[in-house]
Amino acid sequence: MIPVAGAVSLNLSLAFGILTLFSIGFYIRNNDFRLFLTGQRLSLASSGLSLIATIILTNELIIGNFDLDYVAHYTSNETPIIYKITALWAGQAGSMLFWLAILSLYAIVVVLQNKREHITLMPWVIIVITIVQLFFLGMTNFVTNPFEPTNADFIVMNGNGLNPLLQNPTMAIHPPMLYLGYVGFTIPFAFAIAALIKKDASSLWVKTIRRWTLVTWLFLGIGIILGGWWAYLELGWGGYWAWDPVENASFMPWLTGTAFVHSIIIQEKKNMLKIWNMILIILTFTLCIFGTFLTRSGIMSSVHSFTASGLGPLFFGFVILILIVSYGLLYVRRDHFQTEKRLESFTSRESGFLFNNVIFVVMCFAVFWGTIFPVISEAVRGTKITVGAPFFNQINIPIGLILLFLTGVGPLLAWRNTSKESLIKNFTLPLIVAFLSAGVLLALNVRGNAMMTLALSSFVFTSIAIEFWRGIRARTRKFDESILSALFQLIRKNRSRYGGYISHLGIVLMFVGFSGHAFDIENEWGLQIGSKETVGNYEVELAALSEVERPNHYAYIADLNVYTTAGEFVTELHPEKRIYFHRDPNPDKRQPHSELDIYSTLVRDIYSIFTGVDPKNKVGYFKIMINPLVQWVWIGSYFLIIGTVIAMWPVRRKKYELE
Amino acid sequence: MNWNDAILIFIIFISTVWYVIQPMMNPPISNPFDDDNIDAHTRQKMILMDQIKELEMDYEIGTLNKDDFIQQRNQLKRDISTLLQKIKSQTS
Repeated sequence: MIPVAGAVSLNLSLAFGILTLFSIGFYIRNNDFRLFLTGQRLSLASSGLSLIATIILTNELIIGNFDLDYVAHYTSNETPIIYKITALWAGQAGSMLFWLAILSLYAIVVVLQNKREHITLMPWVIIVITIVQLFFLGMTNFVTNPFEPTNADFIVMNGNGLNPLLQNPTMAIHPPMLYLGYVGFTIPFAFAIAALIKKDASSLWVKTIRRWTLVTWLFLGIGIILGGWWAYLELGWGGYWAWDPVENASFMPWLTGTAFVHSIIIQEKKNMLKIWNMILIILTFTLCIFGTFLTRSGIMSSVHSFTASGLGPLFFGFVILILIVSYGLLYVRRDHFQTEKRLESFTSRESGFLFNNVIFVVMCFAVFWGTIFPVISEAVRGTKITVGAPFFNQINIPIGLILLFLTGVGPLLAWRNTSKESLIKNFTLPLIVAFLSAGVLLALNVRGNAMMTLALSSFVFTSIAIEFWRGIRARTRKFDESILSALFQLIRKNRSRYGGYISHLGIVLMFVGFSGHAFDIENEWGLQIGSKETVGNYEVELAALSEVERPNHYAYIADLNVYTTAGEFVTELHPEKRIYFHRDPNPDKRQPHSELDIYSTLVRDIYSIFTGVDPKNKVGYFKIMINPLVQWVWIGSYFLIIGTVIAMWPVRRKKYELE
Repeated sequence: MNWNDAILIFIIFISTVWYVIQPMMNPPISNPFDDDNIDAHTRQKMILMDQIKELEMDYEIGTLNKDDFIQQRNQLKRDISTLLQKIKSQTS
């Protein structure tokens, strides 16, 4: 492959994108179907060319063509091949191309999938997707081109190499997942805008975008979880969520996306909340672009941010444009999307959904405000006032607890109205379990948010268990099935509903994991070989200290033995202190990095960080943390993912017969 | 730019342009698909059928009382009948 072909592919992709708009625009005017077919093919060609450009850049990264500035910046001869590939999204220009490639992939799927469906909406869907593509094509062609040649008077023999923090398997998956999520929301957004333009308030397109939204939401969720996992395994501060601006940037569209995933069910089933759903999907997509703006503009200091660049104003302009055009269109079309039906009762599932939606949006606003507050404070008062984790925790923990409560309430409510008798019947057992749990926790001296979280988790767990039990009982009675077979059939035949419940179970388990944070313990000391120190109920002994040179770093390896205070052996830990680019004669270019080692159980993690080393005196400096219940966050994530996959899995159609 | 580059770019360009302009070689045609067609009605019918299934599920597990169940089910059946009539009139 040749880099110039990549650059030309990007140029052509831009040209074909512009032609797509003309072709479809003329079709809308003249109704000559050939123009629509041409427009479809132009869109496919533009997307295909963007993909070719991405493949070419990936190839250049793998072969290490340091004639390209991007390749020389993010890879080196020593970089392992997997990280040469991941270097595609390590820098500004490459990640923009990667954004474009994913959008192009989605565009191809949407165009091919809807060749004969949604034929009145599709011209506008293609136009909206193409406009978003053109924005990124403009960026990659004119502002941050990944095919720029190296600006040097000599032949570059080796590159800078990838940041050591990014040389982690999780980092190979985390950004693509986030991007798949961010970019994917373009598709439901495009359908929503097309429906607004065509005044289509039917539930047909809603059904189509529901699966898209779920897939996208799942990717974004996996991306966020992997980001937390990476932070926990790699960054060495013992946590998985720091309310960092860029973490928040991915969390905000996830919150509004979650609200949308729920409220779209109401539109599909009850033909209600049509305007609200439009508001949510526009907001979610805007937040996706806003998130990209936060990472690219350099206005926020974060471990994730790219360096400050000229992309910020362009992204900000695009965000404003999306907001004005989309909400302007919604305002103009509002009469066509009014719902004839009204909420009939406060104690109905519809109300539960709406209430959960409002809470999600409130939480999103709280996160948004905390995230942009430093920028606003700097603009207004000239001083950047950073809002830290305590602010976010203070605001979001109560909101999160309300959401957790609603997760349990939803299944207990009936559509339209829940009678007083049903309310008493459905809520009695979960409430008894919740109060009993609270009593036990108080007796164990667990108080505050941790107690509330665990008591509410037991409430939600019981309400989900009741739902499963009722379903199983109905099936065993009706079909004379065994309990296991009834459970399997129940999930298989009602994937959307029970997949959703499994996801909710995942959320409960994650909250259980979050509650463990209240009991974290940590200690820091220097240890000589053979000496011991205490942290919580454990003793840590430095048994040995060794050194090893590996292809891309030099490592000091500690052998730590962990015992209980009663003297019982628990585990060995081997944290490392690494020096990347250790052969570089300039000491400033050598990058130290602590490689953690963690002993994980369902009850607690013993988290060891090798913070420093004195090789002469054979002294290692360590930070050891006891983090309870963290494993449940990851177990909950598996449930969340499995549940969502079940919920969106396509149902094989049978012929229905009405009685 | 060497010859290899030029040939590769030429091939990419020509094959893409050919693929794109091919529909324009045919005589003008109007939209052969219509959203208000049998496919759309059938998909709408499927959505309503799914809703009846879920309604039955709600009733069986006790989250919906009998009166609401009958009323909502009848409404959905009426909607399906209307759609079936439309499908029938389009096929005949």
